[in-house]
Amino acid sequence: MIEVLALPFMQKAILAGSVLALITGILSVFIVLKKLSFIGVGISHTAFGGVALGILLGTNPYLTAMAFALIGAFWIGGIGRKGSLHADVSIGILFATAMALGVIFLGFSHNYNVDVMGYLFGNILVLTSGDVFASIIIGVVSLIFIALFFKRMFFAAFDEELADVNGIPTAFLYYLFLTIVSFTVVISIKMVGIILVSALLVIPGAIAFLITYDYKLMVLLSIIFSIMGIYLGLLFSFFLNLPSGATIVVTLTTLFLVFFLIQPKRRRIT
Amino acid sequence: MKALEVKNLTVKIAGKVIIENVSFDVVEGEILGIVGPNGGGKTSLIRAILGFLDYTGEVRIFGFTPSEAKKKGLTGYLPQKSLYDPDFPVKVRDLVAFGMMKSWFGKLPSNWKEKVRSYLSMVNMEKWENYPFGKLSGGQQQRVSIARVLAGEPKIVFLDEPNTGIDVVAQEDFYQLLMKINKELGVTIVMVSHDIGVISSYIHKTACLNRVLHYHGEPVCITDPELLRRVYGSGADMILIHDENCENCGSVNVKGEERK
Repeated sequence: MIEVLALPFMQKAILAGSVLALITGILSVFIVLKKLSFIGVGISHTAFGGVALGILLGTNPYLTAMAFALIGAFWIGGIGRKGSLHADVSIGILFATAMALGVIFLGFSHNYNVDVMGYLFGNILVLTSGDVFASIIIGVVSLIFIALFFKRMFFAAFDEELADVNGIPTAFLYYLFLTIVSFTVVISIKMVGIILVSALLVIPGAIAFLITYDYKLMVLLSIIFSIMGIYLGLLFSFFLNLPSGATIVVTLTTLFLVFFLIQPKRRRIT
Repeated sequence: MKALEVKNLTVKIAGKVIIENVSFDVVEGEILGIVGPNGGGKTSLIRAILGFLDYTGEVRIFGFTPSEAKKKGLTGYLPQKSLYDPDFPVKVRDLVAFGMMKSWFGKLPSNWKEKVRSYLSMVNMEKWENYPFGKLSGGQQQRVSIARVLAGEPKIVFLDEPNTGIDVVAQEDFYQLLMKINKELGVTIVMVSHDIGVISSYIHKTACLNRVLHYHGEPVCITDPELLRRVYGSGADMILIHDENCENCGSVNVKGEERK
């Protein structure tokens, strides 16, 4: 086991995975409480269009993915806040369109060495030092913003209008949240892939929701489950020679099923 | 001082006029009851005043626009909501503390736990401090919500059908609590209700609204059959429940018949 941890690619995977677990652990709590479970799917699939455009243009696909993810997030957020359509409708339109654009962009591209499967399903064991560094920078910036507005974000998640009446900048917090989700999705692409990242944005928070009535404890538990999912998934992936991203998601889902069957919160009141 | 000034307020939703050219004001320290039939625009009026709906006309809260007033922490709001998600992970203590948070930045005061307890004791809910908010009954949730509103130390509070989901006995307690808050803390209260009989005992002034404002003044309108006809329509028949606060109050219907 110790020898495994000494491997450079494993050290990079653990470091970047820890950053990702920390951010997704926190974000997933807000996603579950705000009933935005499909927002991760919407933004990540939108990012695929950006990846494909980057490949077509010969630029860094992560930069174009970031641009697409942000546009997607603000599209979903803008339509959702205006209230004329439910968010799931805008997500349904957006992610299919962005995936379609991605396929068209790849069709125009003559770069046949691109590992499309790598973008779709990720591989945390092939990260470069640059990937790890980018994850840390984005992670730290995201955490600073979350720490600044943590309680206000919770108040808004409980009831946005009540928070607004208290003078809390709810629209700003909403778009800040979407921006952080977009950045997180993009740094996750290489680790768990576009298809699987939404699981990290939902499952840890969903498990914690089953356990506690205390919102601060819910965040702590969500981070712990996120870290557990990534670490255990990595180990299973390494020792059983399974795809890393998919193994992480299946590990998290197994944890969710265990707590769903136990239903610890329903067994007590406080 | 005028706590609230509404001038020529008109609200349209999807092209339909919901509120038309409504003007009234509320003096600081007053309790105003806004009454009228369902669909008469009462909730829309509150939501427009708080800046949640677009409107034409002018709204001033202590001389400020709704947006400025909210930023200055002058407003409190108890929406029309029977129950919150019972599993939402927030305890009574934390919810009341949310009420203390204002504007963009700023931490809770160092003595926030004591402050929360004092507000909870004001509404007789201090024993429930560590209980999940969503697991409380409707009446208990309303009391805790009042504590949350008070924790923000607002100068004016807007209550939209605050008796929704509360039984009759709890309603009486709830209105007594509102009167106590009004007297002891000097908070101006604007309260929406379709139950004109009950709230008339607790308010200083009434505004009768059914798209247009039919009456604004002393809370005597409930005994005026002509006014009832204009506000509620000709098919309505009002049965008033008398209590010790009634004076010259009769059971009336809007056809103009009055029964003592």
